Amino acid sequence: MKRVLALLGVITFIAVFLRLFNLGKTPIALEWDEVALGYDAYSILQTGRDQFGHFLPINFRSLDDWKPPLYVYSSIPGIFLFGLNDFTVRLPSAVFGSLAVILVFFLVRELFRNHSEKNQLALLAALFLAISPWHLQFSRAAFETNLSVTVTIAAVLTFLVGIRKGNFLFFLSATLFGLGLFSYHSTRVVTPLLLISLIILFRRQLPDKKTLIGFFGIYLVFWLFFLPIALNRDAQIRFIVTNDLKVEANQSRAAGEIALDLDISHEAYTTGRLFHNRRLSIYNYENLKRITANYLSHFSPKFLVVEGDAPLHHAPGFGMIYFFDYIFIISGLGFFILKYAKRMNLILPLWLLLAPLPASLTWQAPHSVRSEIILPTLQIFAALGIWNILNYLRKEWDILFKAAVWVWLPVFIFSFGKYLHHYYFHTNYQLSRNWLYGRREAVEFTESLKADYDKVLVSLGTDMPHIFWLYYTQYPPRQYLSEGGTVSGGFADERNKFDKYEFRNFKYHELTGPGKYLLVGPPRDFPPQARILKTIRYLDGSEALLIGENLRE
Amino acid sequence: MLPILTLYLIIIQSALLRLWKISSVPPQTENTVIILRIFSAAAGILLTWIVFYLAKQFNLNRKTALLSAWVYSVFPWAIEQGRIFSSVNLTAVVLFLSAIFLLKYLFKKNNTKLILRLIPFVFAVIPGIWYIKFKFLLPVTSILNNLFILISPNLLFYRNITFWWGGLKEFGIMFLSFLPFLITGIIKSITGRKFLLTSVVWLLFFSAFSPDFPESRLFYLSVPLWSVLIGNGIAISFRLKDKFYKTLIICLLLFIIYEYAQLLHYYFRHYPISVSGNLDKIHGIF
Repeated sequence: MKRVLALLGVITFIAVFLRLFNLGKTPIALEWDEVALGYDAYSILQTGRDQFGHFLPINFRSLDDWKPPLYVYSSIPGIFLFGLNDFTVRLPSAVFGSLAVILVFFLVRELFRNHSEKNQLALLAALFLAISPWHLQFSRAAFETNLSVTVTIAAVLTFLVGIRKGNFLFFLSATLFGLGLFSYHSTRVVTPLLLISLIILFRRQLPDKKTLIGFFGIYLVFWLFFLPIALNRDAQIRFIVTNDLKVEANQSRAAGEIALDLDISHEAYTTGRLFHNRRLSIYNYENLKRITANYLSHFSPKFLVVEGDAPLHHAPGFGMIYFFDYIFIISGLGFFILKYAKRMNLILPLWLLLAPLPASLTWQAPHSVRSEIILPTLQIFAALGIWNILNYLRKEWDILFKAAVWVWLPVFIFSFGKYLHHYYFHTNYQLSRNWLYGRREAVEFTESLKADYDKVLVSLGTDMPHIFWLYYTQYPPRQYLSEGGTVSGGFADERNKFDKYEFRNFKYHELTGPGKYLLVGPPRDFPPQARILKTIRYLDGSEALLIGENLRE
Repeated sequence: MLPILTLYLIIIQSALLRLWKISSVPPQTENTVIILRIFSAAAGILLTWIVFYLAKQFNLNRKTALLSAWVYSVFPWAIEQGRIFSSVNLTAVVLFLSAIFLLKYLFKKNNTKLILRLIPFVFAVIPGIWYIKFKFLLPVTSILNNLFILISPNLLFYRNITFWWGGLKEFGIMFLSFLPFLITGIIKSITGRKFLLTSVVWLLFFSAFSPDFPESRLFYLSVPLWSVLIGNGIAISFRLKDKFYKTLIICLLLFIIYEYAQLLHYYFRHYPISVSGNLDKIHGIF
């Protein structure tokens, strides 16, 4: 056991190192959600209120996307200790990401506790999670989803141990499942389903009524706070704007299909009215096809191995997992069915199948952020796969076993090295545009010059500029709230302002009055004859932002 | 008597699906030879019968074999390929007829394990030649990419891109409603009939090595095996006693019928129109 713990220590060190090294510098800049999380945490720390003036909210309006609160509150200790900076904003993600690696070790040990190879499986799963491109990506940036993964792992682990030992961990599990409701949008769907699955799977091992009442009592308290959020239309906005059930578009498509049938023949029209019927075909079949396609796309090798999803969510030229993972995951599923499937560990495949559900209902599927909760099941199945393949080869053909190890090890090291190369050298260069590089530089420049100008106008083409200027100037939240705070986090809202800054679109040639304005915006906001004071470039050399001044009469 | 009658009915259905309006759906190109289309349709009908016997060779009962044959008869890709001149459809007949005879002989000798170990070497010959001959066309990443395309849900259930100008792109290789039965069949074959699954995996690799991927459509050779897996999945599901599962399975079967009806409507009404704009781009016999 000492050796196992020593190995776990090494894996944990690798996990922590990979998550903390250059944190705040790679990726090169904070994108808007990260900045919003950071400033809200800063504001809560200073005033107890968010940027809108809401007192200790349990749902942050933020950029009008109503963020769950757990990440903001977990950022506060880091900001309190080390101040507001890129490192401290990302720190909770890195800390919870590292913690997930340790928790996975214990989760796998618990799930396979009746198998002699439980330690080996647990170590392999922890190692795979420690170096997982998917998990690393979101452990090194402020994404609430990463925190929710750790909360979910902890909730399932404490449930399993708690129910076996009948101790306080069972109640801790209720608390963690409850916290899951406040960690990330998709987790709000997945964790209750996981809990229901666990209750059904362990229905024969459930503790006495008194303990159960205590468990559900704790969980209910969280639901009492969560229900008003779930029922509030404002808070549902994230689902409303991202849902993929295109009812109106499908209706007009159905009408188009029936019109086409009418052109073909009378009998085509008659059958077409049935098969393209908007009630039967559109609300159900078309949407079902879309949702199932979205769902299954999360298991597609194209997404997992080849190209991932949006550029912000993975290293350039890399998918979400290593290519060898995919082979081991498939074989791991096979070995699970053959060797391990028991009522007590069926939660593992259920977790795998439930995790992509919320993301399937939304557009941009497959979506690695909305489905990150699928981790760590992929790594656990990969561990099952590789362990059993090697074990089988060792028993059957020792030469093949040695050959497999000597082939796999270099492939493993090469793939991991290639990932690190892509992540550390390519991300900043190729994706500085996606990570919204240049805002810090613009803020530093405008801060140094603002005293000479009447106003600083920042174009909305700068993408949510108010939150970047609040964050990088570290504008005192108390003062900001006394000036009215944020009016709206909407993309096109022109009412936000503080100090000399106004965040609204401008037409350069119309700013010829008496006022002296410093102007910030993307190149399209400035005509060729504009007086430009500074050009900020992305790391690939293309223009990011221009800072200029108006031409006065 | 009843099973034989059922088999005849399935074959009649298969024949109808492959022969009805064969001269006009899909529309003819200047290279179309109707007799070759009929030849291909006959191969498709024969394959329905072959699938029945293939399933029996895997020691599956008669009901499962019938279900497998029915699944093959309504398989979207099999219908598409059975109504055009398709060399891969004809190859499938030869391959699986040989397989039935080999299996019959080999299983009796009870040396399955040896066969399983020999198969990789036999199957490695042709991809090996392709790889040596076209290695510039086939870097390892391409082969992996091909493999990933073949097992992607998009190709399997939503969009069959293996015949770009003349194929039925709006449907996948199989119906989405087959998926639960396919998973059941695969799980069952992991624990039992590994040979069936191994054959599918080898055909998967075999197709991925093809220099003309995906237009070579070699993966089509695995359709009879998919049919057996799905047929077995349906048969296993029927054995479940639980009322909840029974209701679920009935719903799924109704969904298969619905998708089948959708396929027929789309194939005979819309597909001829969508493909007629591409006829000049289809080279070779169609």
